[in-house]
Amino acid sequence: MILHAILFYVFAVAAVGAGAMVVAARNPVHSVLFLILAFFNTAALFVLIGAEFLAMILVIVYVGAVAVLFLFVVMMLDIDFAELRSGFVRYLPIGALVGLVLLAELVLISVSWALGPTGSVVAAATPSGAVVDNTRALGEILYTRYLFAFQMAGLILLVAMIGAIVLTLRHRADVRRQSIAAQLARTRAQSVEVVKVPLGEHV
Amino acid sequence: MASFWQGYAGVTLITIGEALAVIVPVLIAVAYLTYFERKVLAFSQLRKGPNVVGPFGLLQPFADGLKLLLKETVVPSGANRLVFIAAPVVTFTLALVAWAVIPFDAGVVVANINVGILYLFAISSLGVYGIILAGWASNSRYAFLGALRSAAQMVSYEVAIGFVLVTVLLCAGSLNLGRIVEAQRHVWFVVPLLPMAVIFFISGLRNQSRPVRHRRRRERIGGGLFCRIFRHGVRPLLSRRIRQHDPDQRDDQRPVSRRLAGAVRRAALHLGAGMDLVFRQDRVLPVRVFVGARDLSAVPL
Repeated sequence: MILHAILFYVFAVAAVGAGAMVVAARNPVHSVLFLILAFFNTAALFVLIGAEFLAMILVIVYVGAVAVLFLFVVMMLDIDFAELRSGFVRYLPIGALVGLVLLAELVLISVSWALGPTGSVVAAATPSGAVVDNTRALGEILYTRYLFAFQMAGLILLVAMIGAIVLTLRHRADVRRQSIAAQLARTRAQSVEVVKVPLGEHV
Repeated sequence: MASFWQGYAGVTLITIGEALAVIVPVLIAVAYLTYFERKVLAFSQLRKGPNVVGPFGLLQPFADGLKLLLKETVVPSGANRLVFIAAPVVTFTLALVAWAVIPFDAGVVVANINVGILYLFAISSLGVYGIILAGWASNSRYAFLGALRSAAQMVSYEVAIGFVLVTVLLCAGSLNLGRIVEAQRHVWFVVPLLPMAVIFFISGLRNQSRPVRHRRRRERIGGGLFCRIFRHGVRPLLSRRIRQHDPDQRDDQRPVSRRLAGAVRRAALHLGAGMDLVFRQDRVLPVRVFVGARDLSAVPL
């Protein structure tokens, strides 16, 4: 159990530290790399409490896909670091306010958790002595009790995807496109004309 | 003594031993599959291939590896030093850690985790970082463009691989690789899922840029994303290739170990399966690596 505690603090400290470095790093690409480090440590924390499915999904979705997109965008952008820094003091109050609100909410949740009726037991991701692994447990609850919410989430994502495609789709009239049907329908008679050129003349 | 092996130190030692027991054969297999591939390519082009170091050139892969490791590492000016060195390390590490969950026989596996297949998928989706960071850290437009191209390609084929994995999971009813293998006791999934297997095969090849190497078509974009890394000596960690002008070294710069991992992944999912459980005396590994080797060599140049 002591090993568990040590590992927890190692990963937690690394996650928080990486999170701080996301904000503090001068180079935006380094920020994204620190974000990836934070994701990894969070995944490790998930593994520690036995939520292996969530850990893997976190790595696949966030590290494998989302952070790659971040990296793409950040690398492609021409960012002026000095200008990026300049607004720091101006936006500090708003940032601090948002941070405070989040902190208050976290405190509220943890207090109500500790004082609440189920507060005496710390809920583990998998009940002890579980016969099903947590992937199956998750699936069984997700596809029965929360089926409609789950499907709705999927539909919303679908709509968002279609929306993004519609927003970026442009039909340009001034582009000459290849028409394969027209190309295939061409015959020799339409395309080639044999001309008898008189001597010393031009066509 | 038994208590020692159950203590922290003992478990650590056992784990290291298990890791070595997997990694060393993998690296040797990588060395000789490289040799094999180079020989076959050479014969197909009426050359001799490696034939100087050792009998029939059998020691060539090790000579290459040694040479590459001992070469001076030159970091190009303006390169992001840490990332430049870390990128190949990331790639190579990912190629090896994927082996942790591959079952070699019933119950013979380094880490028998419940979400083995997701772990493999996660590892393979991380592979893109080695590429994109290598390109970016080189501080060269050509390297960066090449990296973007191949990263885009890897990410897009990753999606297809994911969907094919879902079909396998549905058939097996488990995310554990051992149980997926066991589920194919009676019939290999490659039979009922043949179209999916074909898609998986193609996506896997494309994901690893095997048949069409457009990630580094030299006439167009220099060495692609590798043009700096490979010219400047970090390449030993990323590649088995040495000289870019050598004809049998014009193909892809992916470490064979990663391709081998991909091949074995394919094998474990679709083929490797029934084999070890039906024919117990036939150990699986040679069979799977054979399937893998066929993957590697079936690819036209």
